[in-house]
Amino acid sequence: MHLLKLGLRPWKLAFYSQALSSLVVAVLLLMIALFVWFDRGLGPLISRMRTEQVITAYLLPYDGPMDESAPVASAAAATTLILEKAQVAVGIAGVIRLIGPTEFLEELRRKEYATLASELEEMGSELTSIVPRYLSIEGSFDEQALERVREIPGVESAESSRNRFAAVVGAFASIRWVNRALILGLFLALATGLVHLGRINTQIHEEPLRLLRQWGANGLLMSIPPLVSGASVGVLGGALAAGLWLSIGMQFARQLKGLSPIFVNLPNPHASTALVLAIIGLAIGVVSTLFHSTARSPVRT
Amino acid sequence: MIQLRSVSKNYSGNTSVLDQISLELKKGDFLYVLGGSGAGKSSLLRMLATEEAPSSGTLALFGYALSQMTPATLQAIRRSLGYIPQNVRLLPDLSVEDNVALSLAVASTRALGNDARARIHDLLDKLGLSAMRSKPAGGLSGGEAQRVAIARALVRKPELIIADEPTGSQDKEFTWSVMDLLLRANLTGTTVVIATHDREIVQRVRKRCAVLRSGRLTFEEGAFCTF
Repeated sequence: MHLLKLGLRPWKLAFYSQALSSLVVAVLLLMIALFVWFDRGLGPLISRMRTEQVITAYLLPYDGPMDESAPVASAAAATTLILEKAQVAVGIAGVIRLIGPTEFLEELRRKEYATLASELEEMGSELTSIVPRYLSIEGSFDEQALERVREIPGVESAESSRNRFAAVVGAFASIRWVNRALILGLFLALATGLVHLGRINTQIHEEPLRLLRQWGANGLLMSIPPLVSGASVGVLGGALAAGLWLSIGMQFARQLKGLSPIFVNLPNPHASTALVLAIIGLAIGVVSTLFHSTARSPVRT
Repeated sequence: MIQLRSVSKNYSGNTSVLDQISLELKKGDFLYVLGGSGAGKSSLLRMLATEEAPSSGTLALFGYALSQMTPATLQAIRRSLGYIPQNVRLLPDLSVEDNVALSLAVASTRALGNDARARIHDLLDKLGLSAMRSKPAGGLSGGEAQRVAIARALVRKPELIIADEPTGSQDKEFTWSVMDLLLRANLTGTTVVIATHDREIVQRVRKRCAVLRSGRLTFEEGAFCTF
């Protein structure tokens, strides 16, 4: 009980140092949590943008059987064959849609080009010669998928969206590294704060620990006051960080997700992170006692 | 209980504060350590309290040589010691009662029992500190602080009391209260070593004396001393 009192003495003798340390621990932990959340979300996002693509394969107009060895009787049958071959080319992960004149017009209307769609529709039978037929193949594919699609008989040409995202992927990768550098910087700031806290508490605990040693206290008892001091700052810092996460952090993360459609797939911020922050806060407080150098005695103990 | 064989103590300079001291005390002994200022009394007592190690020679406490003690033995011996240093070293922000109770915290991490509290109150009462029990120790006078340090050492019921000028800042009334407590402890078998330069105490409470002059134990006798 009295050792607990000794442990809480720094709050009495250096209140602002202890309180400010708790606040700094809380704010730094909150920022670290946000950056870690962003980093963890960016990883899959970048990976998806690197591998996900839309291959657009433009089809030749049906002009009789394309393959002499396996003749097909109609345009529909030929298209079905192309679809099957495209599925084989990209694997089961690919989602293939055949875009014909009808689907093309629907797409235009959906994109709020209703007038253009109506004008095209009025062209009647000529529409089929103006509007291209193509396959839209979405999914994550290997490097050779585009080539395989191009080689399908009946495919006039094919292009991939992959290169369109290359610049964005590069920018996100850079942001991710900057984010990681910031996390490291925040950890260093946290460590620096803890070293200073440890030094302040060393001075405050010096005389009591000298007395405890003189009275025959063992190492375990001697460790209680610094441990209580460090843990009290850590517990308060962790609790504040948890509160800040629940009140500000989660809201901030949701707002960040809403800033761009690309961020929609970032993970949702979890309330359970608050518990993790509280535990980390306590651990940080306890670790700060490692920076506590106990008073030396000429006679070994 | 205490055995010193050819113990010397040098500090960073080459000056020898204690020079070839030999001394032996048994359980229940009472010894005055006398000498002028700078004679080495405090150095000797700090060594007896295991605060400092001898530069040479052998110091044994409770049958164990200080230089060969394991940490556990050293801690056990320190728990049996009641050391009243000249510089009282109270924790100024803690109350008088907490300063005294803290020395019992080494024996148990639990809250103090009623017996312990009663012992603390009784000691504070005997030393005229009852009214100041809840006051911060930082506001005490020199004499009051010294009495708190005495209470802090005695409350642990030590087997060996080492007191460095315990009455140095006391008026007559409290000098005899302090001496009364030390003598009572001695009567129950506690070994007491007191450094003092108070002639009146030595003459009225006649006990063994060891006289230090320029670091040498020039006088030690089995009967009574006069100086």
